[in-house]
Amino acid sequence: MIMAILEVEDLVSGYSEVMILNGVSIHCGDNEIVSIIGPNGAGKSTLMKSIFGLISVKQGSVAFDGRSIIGMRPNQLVKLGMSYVPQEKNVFPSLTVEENLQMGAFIRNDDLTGSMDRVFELFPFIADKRKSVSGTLSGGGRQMLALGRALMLEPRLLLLDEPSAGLAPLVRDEIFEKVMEIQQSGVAILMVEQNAKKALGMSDRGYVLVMGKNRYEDTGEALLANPEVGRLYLGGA
Amino acid sequence: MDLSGLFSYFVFFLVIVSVYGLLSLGLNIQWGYTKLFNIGIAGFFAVGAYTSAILTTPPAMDRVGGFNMPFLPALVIAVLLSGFIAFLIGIPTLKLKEDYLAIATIGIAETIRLFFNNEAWLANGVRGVSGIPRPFQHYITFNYNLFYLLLMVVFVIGVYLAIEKALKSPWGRVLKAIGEDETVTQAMGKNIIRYKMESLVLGSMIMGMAGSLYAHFIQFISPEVFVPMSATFLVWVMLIAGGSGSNKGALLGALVIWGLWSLTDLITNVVPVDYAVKAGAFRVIAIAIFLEVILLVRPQGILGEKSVMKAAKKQEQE
Amino acid sequence: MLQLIANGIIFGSIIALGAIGLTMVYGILKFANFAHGDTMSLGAYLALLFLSLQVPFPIAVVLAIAVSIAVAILIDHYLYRFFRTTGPIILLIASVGVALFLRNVILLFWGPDLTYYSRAIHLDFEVIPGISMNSYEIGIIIVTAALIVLVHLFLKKTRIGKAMRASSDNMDLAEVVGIDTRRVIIWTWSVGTALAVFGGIMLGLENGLRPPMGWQLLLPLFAAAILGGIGQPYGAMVGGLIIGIAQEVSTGFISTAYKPAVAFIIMILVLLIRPQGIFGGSKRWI
Repeated sequence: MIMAILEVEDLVSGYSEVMILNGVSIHCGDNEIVSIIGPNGAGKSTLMKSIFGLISVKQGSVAFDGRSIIGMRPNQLVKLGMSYVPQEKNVFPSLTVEENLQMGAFIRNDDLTGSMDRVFELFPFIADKRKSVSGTLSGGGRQMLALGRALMLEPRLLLLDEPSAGLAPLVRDEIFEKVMEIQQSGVAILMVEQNAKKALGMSDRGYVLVMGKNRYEDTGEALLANPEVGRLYLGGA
Repeated sequence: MDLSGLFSYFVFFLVIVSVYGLLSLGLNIQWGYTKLFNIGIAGFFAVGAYTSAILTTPPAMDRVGGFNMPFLPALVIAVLLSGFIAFLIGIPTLKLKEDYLAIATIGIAETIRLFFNNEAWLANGVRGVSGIPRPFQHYITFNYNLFYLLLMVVFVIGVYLAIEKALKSPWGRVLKAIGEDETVTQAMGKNIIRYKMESLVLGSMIMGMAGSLYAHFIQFISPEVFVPMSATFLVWVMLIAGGSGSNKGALLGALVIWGLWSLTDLITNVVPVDYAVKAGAFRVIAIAIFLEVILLVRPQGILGEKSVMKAAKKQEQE
Repeated sequence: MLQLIANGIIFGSIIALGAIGLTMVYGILKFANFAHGDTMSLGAYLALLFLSLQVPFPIAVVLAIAVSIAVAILIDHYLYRFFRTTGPIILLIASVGVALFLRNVILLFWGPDLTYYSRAIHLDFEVIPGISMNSYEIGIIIVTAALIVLVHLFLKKTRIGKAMRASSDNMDLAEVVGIDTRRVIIWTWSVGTALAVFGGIMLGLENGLRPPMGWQLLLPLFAAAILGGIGQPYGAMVGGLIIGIAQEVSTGFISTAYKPAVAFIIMILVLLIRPQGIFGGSKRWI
């Protein structure tokens, strides 16, 4: 097995009374793309938020690069090399594109031109709009900006919560292509996706999350080929 | 102070507690159930008091009125007028975020006070209105204050029972539901703004009633009475200490807080005149700290439901 | 009339300085801070305290600001912080308590009487035909203009200023992208309080000091913030000037006692016609 950059073991978490995750164990290797799919309410977004310290963990362990990150605040996690792109409302609408990117590197005090240029190279679409207020961008533009902002600190692991949600099919494909490009540049990606077929198709491995537990785990291809998974979670045989 | 002096002090004290009890009950309808943040209690209190004062006093040369009207019809008009002003305030503010209502109500309360302060033709300006008649005075052969206390108790119990009954009706259950969770109630198809308006108007009517009853008891009112500290802030402390969402709590809060307030007043009166202002300031500081401690330690109050805590948890989940 | 407008600009500058802080706290910490007016009073009285210790005026201003900021941050740390998850109304109630606390602490230490920074009389002179001002008043306008430019540069150019705008847009996202939101909160209190103290001292220079001075300004402050679109510092600046001018011009027609009522009526009209404020629409800091 490849050295895991993220290791989640028996995770139990949720809100004050209701636990949403009841013992999830997943891992993500260095430079892997891992997808998490599953029905609505399975706890996919909760898993992302728990990993990123936004929901307090009741039990289990979360380790990044071999060290426990439970109880850490997001501004500490980004420092370690982990970024998170939430599902919606993921840009600051009143800030310009450039300012949004600067916020992604808030903890850095030095010159950001190098990192910003790399982001603009990856996303020429937003490079043209660097001085525009981001609230005026299209849905795809905003998603690119959110991805770009998450790359500003050159993370080693990117958590993506439904990167294709609410996008037109063409734009969606473009975003997935960008995600592949990001991975090829050496970033591990853990992704939650509604669009399960597409996600598994591009992933090294995948998990099917059901009722707060991981039920299947396999390579992306194998999960796609698994008839049971296909019938239950991929919408038809 | 001899025994009879102590007794009459106690009667006087309880009458004021009942006035505050009514204010607190009125606020509980607004804040305790529908989470309407009214910090203009003084304004509605003033409208009630002034309406009664102007209507029931004998004719005066230098101001409008008086109309020599009997006590009860004047009380009814005072209550209706307070409700009407609440209605006017509700129109622009109820559909906005809750903080706007707070700002608007303090604005109206200050405007009302300024108005009575400056328009001498209406109610004698800063000098205030005196000689407000005591209701049924000619029929009372025993201690009048004691009679008035009984009258107040009748009003407080009447209002209390009416609110409790109303809250058990379908209307009251919607009202409570709004305070618990607005979005859910909205999803149920209830017209939230209408219910909030009813809650605002009803609560303010009770505050107006308190004003009228206060004026008839003290027999003299001036704009000084309706400053935010004594007429608004204390009521808030009473309701929060007693427990918002509980009518018993509202009444208990009035008793406890007015008790503490009067006790500190006694102490203030003992110290030399030079220190009176400082002692007064100290008193407010103490009550302000008391409020913050309650909010921190027991936000649901002595008798309150844990709705504040519930709301907090709910928000955390979103 | 010209003179009234000029007076309005002076008074409006003071309101604007207060309203910017009020609107920032609203934008970032999401509550209507009823203690903001009393923060202005606190700053004004602290300056008086330092002046009485023979500290030169500019240093007294700096010290008053420093102490007021410390007070604001302490109150946030020991009080408001615990109510961040309980929603805006509990915070509002807590701030009313803080307002009373501050005002009565001032009353306790300085007493209720009107006091002045200096007994010196500053004569009015004609600045341009039809408008007379004294040197203080000219100073108030210049300092306010300078402060507004500084606030603009701060919000537009500095990392923390941008982070404040980002947090006002979306506090949760700010947290997620790695902005140190605790620092943002400290800066919000600092900038808002510093401007409030400037405003309070100017009010003291113009009208003298009395313990309720800031509390009485609260209604015009809120009116200015709402007029400008709450959460928007630039709106608050313009709103402050409009409210100031409207209040002063109104004295040409009705009793000066109604100044706060004028602010209130403008506020109600804004709420009725355009509740998002003149610069509202989207929640934007321009």
